[in-house]
Amino acid sequence: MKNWTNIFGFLCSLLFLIGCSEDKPLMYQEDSKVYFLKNTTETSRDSIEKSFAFDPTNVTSDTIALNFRIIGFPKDVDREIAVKVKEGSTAKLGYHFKIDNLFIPANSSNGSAELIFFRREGLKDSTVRADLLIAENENFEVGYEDVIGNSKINRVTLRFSITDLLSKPTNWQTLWQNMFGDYSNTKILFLTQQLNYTAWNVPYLFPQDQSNMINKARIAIYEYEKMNGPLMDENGNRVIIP
Amino acid sequence: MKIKFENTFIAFILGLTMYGCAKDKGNYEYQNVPKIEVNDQSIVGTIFIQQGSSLKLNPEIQLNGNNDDLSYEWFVYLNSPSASYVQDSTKISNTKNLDYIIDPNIFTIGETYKLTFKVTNNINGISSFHFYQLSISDIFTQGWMFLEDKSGKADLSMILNNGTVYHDIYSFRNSNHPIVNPKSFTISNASITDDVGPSGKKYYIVGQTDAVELDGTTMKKRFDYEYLFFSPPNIIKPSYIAWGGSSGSNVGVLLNDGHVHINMVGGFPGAKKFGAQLRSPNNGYDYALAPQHISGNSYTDTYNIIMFDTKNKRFYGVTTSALNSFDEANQNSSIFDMNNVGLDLIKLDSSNITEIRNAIMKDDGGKGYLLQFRTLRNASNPSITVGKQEIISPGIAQASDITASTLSPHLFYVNDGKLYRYEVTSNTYTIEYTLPSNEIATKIKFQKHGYGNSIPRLILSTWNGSEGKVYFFKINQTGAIESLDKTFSGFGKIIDLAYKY
Repeated sequence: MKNWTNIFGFLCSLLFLIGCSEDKPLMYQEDSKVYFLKNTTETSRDSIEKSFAFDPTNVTSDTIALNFRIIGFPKDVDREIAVKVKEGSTAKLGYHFKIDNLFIPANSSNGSAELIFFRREGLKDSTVRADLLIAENENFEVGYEDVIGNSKINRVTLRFSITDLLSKPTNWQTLWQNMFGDYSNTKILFLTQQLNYTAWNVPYLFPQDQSNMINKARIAIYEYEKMNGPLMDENGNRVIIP
Repeated sequence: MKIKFENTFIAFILGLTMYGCAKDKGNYEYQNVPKIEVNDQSIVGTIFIQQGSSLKLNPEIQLNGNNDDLSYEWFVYLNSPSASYVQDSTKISNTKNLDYIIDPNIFTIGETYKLTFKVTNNINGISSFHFYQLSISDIFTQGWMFLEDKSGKADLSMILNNGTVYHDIYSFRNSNHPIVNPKSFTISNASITDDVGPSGKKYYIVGQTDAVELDGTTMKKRFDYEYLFFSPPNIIKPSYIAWGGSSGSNVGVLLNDGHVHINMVGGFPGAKKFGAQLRSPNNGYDYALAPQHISGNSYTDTYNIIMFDTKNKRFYGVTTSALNSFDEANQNSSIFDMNNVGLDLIKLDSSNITEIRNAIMKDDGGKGYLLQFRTLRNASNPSITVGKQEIISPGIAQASDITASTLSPHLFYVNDGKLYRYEVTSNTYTIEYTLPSNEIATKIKFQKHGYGNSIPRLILSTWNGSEGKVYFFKINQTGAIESLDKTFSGFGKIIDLAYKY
């Protein structure tokens, strides 16, 4: 009985003593992850379609910024990012393209690598594609996928295609059809030259740019026809800007 | 004994532990310190003031029982939308009443400032505040501005609402950028945000071979003509730049070489400038628009902007990407055909009915016509064409300018030295005033609220070969001229006028 009271008393005093110890702050240590910065307002594109067909013949390469962002805290050293090319990709690393500056700089949450495309002979009659995948290395784990509503936004792979073959932009139907009418190779080359415009794969245009392009295109075809008569496309149809 | 002691000890410990859970009732007392109140009933809204002029403010201080041991501070912050959030304030005085000369080193023309009056109770350190909004204006506040031709060069004069007249405004402030053969001067009736210049009303002077956008506060050139375009046209031949569309502020209209270039603004990002010229529906680029436009009332109108083609003698509905024909289903072409009017335009104007627009026109035989149309077609008004009548009033087809009353169904114009008032409904006219024999009218304009709420003013400018003159007439509620209010002289030949407010 006496023993029991002693133990009880001892436990009570111990409880009070615990109350006096310093509280250690809780810090959450998150693992470093890296992902492609895409589908944001700054870099809204989901994939890259590079066509050299709109470029002058002396252009042999094109550099595109490849933006990354990390999850976790920045560190005071440059940290390399690992990226691998998906199996079955037709674009060959080192021949069709290369990636430079593939790292997250010290004390930064963002990194911008350079994806460089080369204009190779074979691209004149074909299109090569590749999927870049973020890979795990000693610095970073693979980033994340965003779930917005019912859709999932992929931020760990990036698809691109390279060609020198003149082809219809995938967004012709959604963006350009309304402005310039039916597609033809002749029409897009004419517009590229007259509007001094090559970014045919943009996801959207502001209204003031749309109307300016339409009006410029209309007067360009008018001036052309005045000098040369109707411009005929590869299918034998007259090029018309509605 | 020992057990009893231990039991007491445990009970005591437990008691202490439980006491920790007791609610702390506290023993605080709050004392209400009566706050000093600062007020200024004499100032309502923004104070518009010029650099170098004196600002006197006498705010009332209610002590509410506090001692009269106070200290005062007056300080200002730049309060424009682009101002930094971390700027320092500038102290301008520490007296009870402010008597301050606006220092140009602190206050910039065109900017707005927040002026704070801080009263501190020296005993308890509690401060009270009162805020004023300051806008640093130039001398050109509100009134009519006139574009003049002075020996072939453009200049501006202004008659302020208080009757003060300023001449040589453009030439004095823009001596390095003369504009020859002035054509038009417009002020947008609402603020325009184009992400190119600062938001605000747009001011344009247009000459035969050049035009400029002006800063509306300083009246100095803001942008050269070519800068107004995404890519300037090959031929530089401006005739008119103005803003229209719904509420008069969403579509910029620029005429160059007779062709219209459009600037569209709205809530979307990116710089907005004038684009390439529009194509006409039937004549390609073979058209020449008159340097006038008329807007609809709201963006839901069927036609937001209507302009007239002097070459093909027809109207167009103007959109941001095209000149459009009027759909046959939208008009009753037995009244007249908007797509084939066959007359020459003298003046496009509003009317005394909000939905109806007036086009005063003439034929080759010297007859004048009034064509009326709507900008909105709906179930109750299935046709936009409203009426066409020959105007039986002397010399209207030869008038240099005509204005439509927005109060009553009348048109005003000058012919052969006489100021006529034509009544649309009865197709009759009266002579309201006779000018001195050597004066010819150059411009005429009806201002509905010229003398305050619904008391209209008629502004007439004349030229006698060497001097321009401006007449202000008061209009009565029946729409007739009540009296000649004022005349102003010393102008060049007046080409255009616009109201600045």
